[in-house]
Formats: sequence, structure tokens, C-alpha cells
Amino acid sequence: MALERELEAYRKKLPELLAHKGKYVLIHGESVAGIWDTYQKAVEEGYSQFELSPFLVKRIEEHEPVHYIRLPVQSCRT
Amino acid sequence: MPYLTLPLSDFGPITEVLIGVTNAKRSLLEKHNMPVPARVSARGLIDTGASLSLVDPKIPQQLGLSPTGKVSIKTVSTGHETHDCNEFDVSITLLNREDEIELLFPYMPVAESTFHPAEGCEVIIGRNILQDCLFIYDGRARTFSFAY
Repeated sequence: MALERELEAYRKKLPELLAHKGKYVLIHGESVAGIWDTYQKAVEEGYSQFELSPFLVKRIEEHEPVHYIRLPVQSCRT
Repeated sequence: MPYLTLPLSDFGPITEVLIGVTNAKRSLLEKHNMPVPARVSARGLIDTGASLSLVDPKIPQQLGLSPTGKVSIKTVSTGHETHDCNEFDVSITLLNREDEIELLFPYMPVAESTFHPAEGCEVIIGRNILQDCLFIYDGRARTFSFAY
């Protein structure tokens, strides 16, 4: 699964990341590379620091949000 | 505030959208002398019932994108179950070719999800975009307006 290590790192570090709730964390491998106020800044830093290597940008939330879609779109590749 | 006004289609408020790589990704590709993919044209449904924006999987494939996120979604087709979807960073442009108006969102997260052809679109413009916009649905005039 894509970004598996990064997602696991996010889950492990979430208690300390919650001090920055609502901001965007950038994770590469198992390391937190930084926290930014905007999605754009986190993505820019991701490409700047890690170039073509995988990285995760995630809004820091206490509970994982579930997004509701009314259209009957199909499940996705993960 | 630039805006576009378009006729309502039988599927609802649908506009042409161009999905492309973000400027950060573009700069990286250019730095490595790699081709920058052209923006992909698609039909986008403005959907106040969607809390995030979605694209058909063929779009990130055409753009050569790797996921930069993961989100959980729940739809009428998933019932009570949630599904994890890849999320990609893209630029989204809403387009009115007739009036030569482009509304650009340079960095937006979008999830991928397969659309049924009967839905008449390949992109959903959800509330993560609408939160910064003015959207007017004029049923009597059979038009909609979108400002950003």
C-alpha cells in the first residue's frame, strides 16, 4: 500500500502532533519533516526536500475524518 | 471577484475543468528534464453534498502522479463501510471557454474514485473547494454561477 510507513508514523506521532492541530504535517518514511500552516506550503516542501520519493501531507486531526460523498462513486485503489 | 455563469446540464451544475500538476511538481519535473504532462480536461460536477473533491483514477494516471495522502470516504455505494482512497495534490482550473474565463486553484488535495458513466462527470468539485467560493444555483434560469 502506498505511504504505509508514513501513515504508520503519523499514527504513532499523533499525540505529540496534536499540539499543532489543524496544521499540515509532512512525513517522509518514519520521520516528520515539518509542520506548516497551509496545504500548499507542505506540498511545496515535500517536493523540495524529497523530490520524486514518496511523502505524506496530512492535516493534523484528533480523529480521522470520514468524507461523505452522495454520488455512488466506487471504491478506490489504495 | 472573477466568476463564470454556465447553463445547468441534465446532470446538474457541470463545468469543464482542467486538472494539472502543481507548480511545485512542475518545477521538479523541469529540474530533472522530465516532461511536464499537459492538463487533463474533464467534466466537473459542483456538488455541495461532497465534503472533498474527487477525480477519476485515470486522471492522476495520465498526469503520472504518486499519492501524497490517504483519506477515508463513505458513499451510498459503500453503505456503512468506509474506504481508504489515495489522495493527490493537483491544480484545478474551472473553465468557461466561451467567455475565456479560468478560475485556478493551484494546490488542491483530491481523492481518486471511479465514476459511473451515467453520472456524466469525471470530477467532483466538493466543499474543500467551495469553502472559498460563491456558488449560486438558479433553477428558474437554468444556470449556475461560480465565483472565486
